[in-house]
Amino acid sequence: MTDTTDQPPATPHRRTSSALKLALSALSSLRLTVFLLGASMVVVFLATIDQVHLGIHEVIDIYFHRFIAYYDLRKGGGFDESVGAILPPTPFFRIWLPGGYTLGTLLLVNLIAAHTVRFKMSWRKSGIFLIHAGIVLLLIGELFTGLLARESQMTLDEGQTLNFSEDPLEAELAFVDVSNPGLERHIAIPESRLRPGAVIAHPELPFRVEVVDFRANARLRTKEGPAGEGWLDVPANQDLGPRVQWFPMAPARTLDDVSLPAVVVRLRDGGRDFGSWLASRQIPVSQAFTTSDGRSWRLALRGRRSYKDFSITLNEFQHERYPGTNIPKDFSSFITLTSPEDRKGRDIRIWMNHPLRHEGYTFYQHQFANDDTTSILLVVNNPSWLIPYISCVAVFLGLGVQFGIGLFSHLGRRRKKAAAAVT
Amino acid sequence: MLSATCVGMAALFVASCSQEESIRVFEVVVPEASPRDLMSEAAPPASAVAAAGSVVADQDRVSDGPSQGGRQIRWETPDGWQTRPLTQFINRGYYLLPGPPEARPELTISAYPGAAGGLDANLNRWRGQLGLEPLDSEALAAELETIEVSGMELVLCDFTGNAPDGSPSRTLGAVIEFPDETWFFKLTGNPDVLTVSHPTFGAFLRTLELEEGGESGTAAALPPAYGQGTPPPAQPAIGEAPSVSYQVPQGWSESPASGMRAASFQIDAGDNFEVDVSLVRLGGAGAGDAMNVNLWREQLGLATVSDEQATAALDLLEVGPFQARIFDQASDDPIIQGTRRARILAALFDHGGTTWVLRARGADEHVAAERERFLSFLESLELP
Repeated sequence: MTDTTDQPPATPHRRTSSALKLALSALSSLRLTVFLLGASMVVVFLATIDQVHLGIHEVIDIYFHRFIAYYDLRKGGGFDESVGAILPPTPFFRIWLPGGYTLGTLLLVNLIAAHTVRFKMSWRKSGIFLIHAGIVLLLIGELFTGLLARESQMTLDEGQTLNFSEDPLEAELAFVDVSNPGLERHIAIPESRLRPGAVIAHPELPFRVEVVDFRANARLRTKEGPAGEGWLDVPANQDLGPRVQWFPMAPARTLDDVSLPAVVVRLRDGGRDFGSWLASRQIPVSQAFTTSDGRSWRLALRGRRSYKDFSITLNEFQHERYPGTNIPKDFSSFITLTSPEDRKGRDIRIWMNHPLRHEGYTFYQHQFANDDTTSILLVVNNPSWLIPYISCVAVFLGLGVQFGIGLFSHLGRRRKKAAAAVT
Repeated sequence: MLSATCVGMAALFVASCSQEESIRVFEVVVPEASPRDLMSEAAPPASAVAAAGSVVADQDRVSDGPSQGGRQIRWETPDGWQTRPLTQFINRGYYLLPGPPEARPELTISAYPGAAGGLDANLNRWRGQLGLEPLDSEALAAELETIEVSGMELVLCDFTGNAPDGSPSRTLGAVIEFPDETWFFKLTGNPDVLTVSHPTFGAFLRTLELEEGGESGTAAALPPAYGQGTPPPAQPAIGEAPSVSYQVPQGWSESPASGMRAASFQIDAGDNFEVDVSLVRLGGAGAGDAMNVNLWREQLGLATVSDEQATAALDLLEVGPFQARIFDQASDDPIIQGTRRARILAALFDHGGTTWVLRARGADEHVAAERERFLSFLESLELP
């Protein structure tokens, strides 16, 4: 028999401490690091090949900007003679995967845990610390970019001036009070709130907005002319509504196509009914109505709009091609940037790889249209845009320091060996 | 630090699962110098597709549809008007009218999407430029006059005040409001000079014509539903020709009614000469007899006359069911192909609360030879 009386009793504190050590040991495991890096490669690979079926924005959303991602195995598809169209393959099995947020978080935790458990601060390892700090910063920077960065577009005709940009992927239903000639009041309802049956009330709106129908992607046409299959009457009775039909479609998924959402809303002001209105991103103008309090309103479904404190005028758009071909050589927007402080404005050229940075926004030359008379600028607002640069500098310095330490210690050892050989 | 990271990520996870986007409320100051819609509320439909969110630079897929409202208004530019280059805000027409070199009246023609801030706001802006106080809708409406030209409703204004430099200034304006676009015709200058220019400006406005194929209504702003189904067909044009019946005189070749013309004919006079006959519904009863007379006089190269003189120049004639005011005048100079004098024979008459014009235009002797058939055609007219 074994006498156990000499063994110290296991206190709760000791049990907690050992559990923490076990957890830290697991989290700091090099195997976990290898597994996470391997899983990241698999997720990146599947996300890449899934772009055959999905658009880049959908891929980013499904694989990276969430904790749990999935990959759908698909079968079938191809040309179907019965409908005379190419049908996409249909998913038949879903594989669940760790998403970008999960992998990023675990890599971050793994790295910090490894430092907590294994690494001891010393000058000889300062380079490694610097490298790891850079990687940690890179991961955090990517998180902030995902959360805070916003992209929008500014579409300018030659000679046109704008002081706002619009998000091409995210729509908003805007009610604009234009009663005051010098001041507009915008009440913008995000697309995510426009679900059929939803009733939206807001203290700034003197009416309730009842969502009658919403289509994530629908083309419009006027009713006149030969009717086509699939075109449906729009359940709206005001302005444009009774005169058009819509054709509901699946949301656009590729970079070359854009969803044009459409919504029908009924507006009620107490006992008064303002009727049902169609708004669509295919309608490039707003519709007007007046409420019983005498206020004039505009209604439009538009890209999520972001106003600036400055305005941009497109003076000229130049599109140069290689001689004898249609291959673009260069395209440039010659703009004038005007602000309340600088009413005269300054002339600037924006072209490939030469964006304009102003007040936290970066304007890239993005696209062009309308027979080279319209320029589309990509407007990026990313408060954490500096973090990747800082991370890279930190990693570069870390590599240099670590290599230098290794080099000098190696040279020191050689010198010692040489001195020992002489003596 | 490790635990802080875990807590932060947990918070992020919770936040990402339960967020509902909120309604944004914000104010936008409308720049004083530009119409409201240009920079704020309604995005100018640069290219309709682009405004609809297209990010495609592929030329084949970009709509060649309306660049600004998809509508064009034609006009006849009177002699002596000097054309000036368009600018960012004066985007449809820019003229200097005859006058003293240092005080030539300036006509600007602009079109902007939507209501461009609304009629009242824009007219009050014009008043502000003359140092006049803004008026409320009721008071402003009392200052305005409405006429109809080619089926378009023109809101006319006439303000006199002082320019920012203190000199007297007058603004004559016409605004055409379409559901998706607003056109501004603004003539500004010294009040004394504008007294002379006024009749010419009025005659100019009478020449406005919505270009054939120009669409009306908000539906006109719809870009094509490219890629799916049938593209939306054009809407009937504003000023669509009403249906009328008549007996076509011998020698008159009928051509399809279009635009503002309810009926249209050509008469072959030989040697490549032709007489053009048109029947047009103008608008409100008695709308602008004097204005039309001056318009025709200008087309004949004759000096414009006062309203009283213009009205007195019309002969009253009872033709069938119509009390017609007849204009029959030839030019002094050979302006038809440089060899023949021109003649305009026109009958203004009221029917059904609107004024109609039957007009024949061609070489002097050719039009004169058609006078009898012209009147018999007028007599045969059955109007809606």
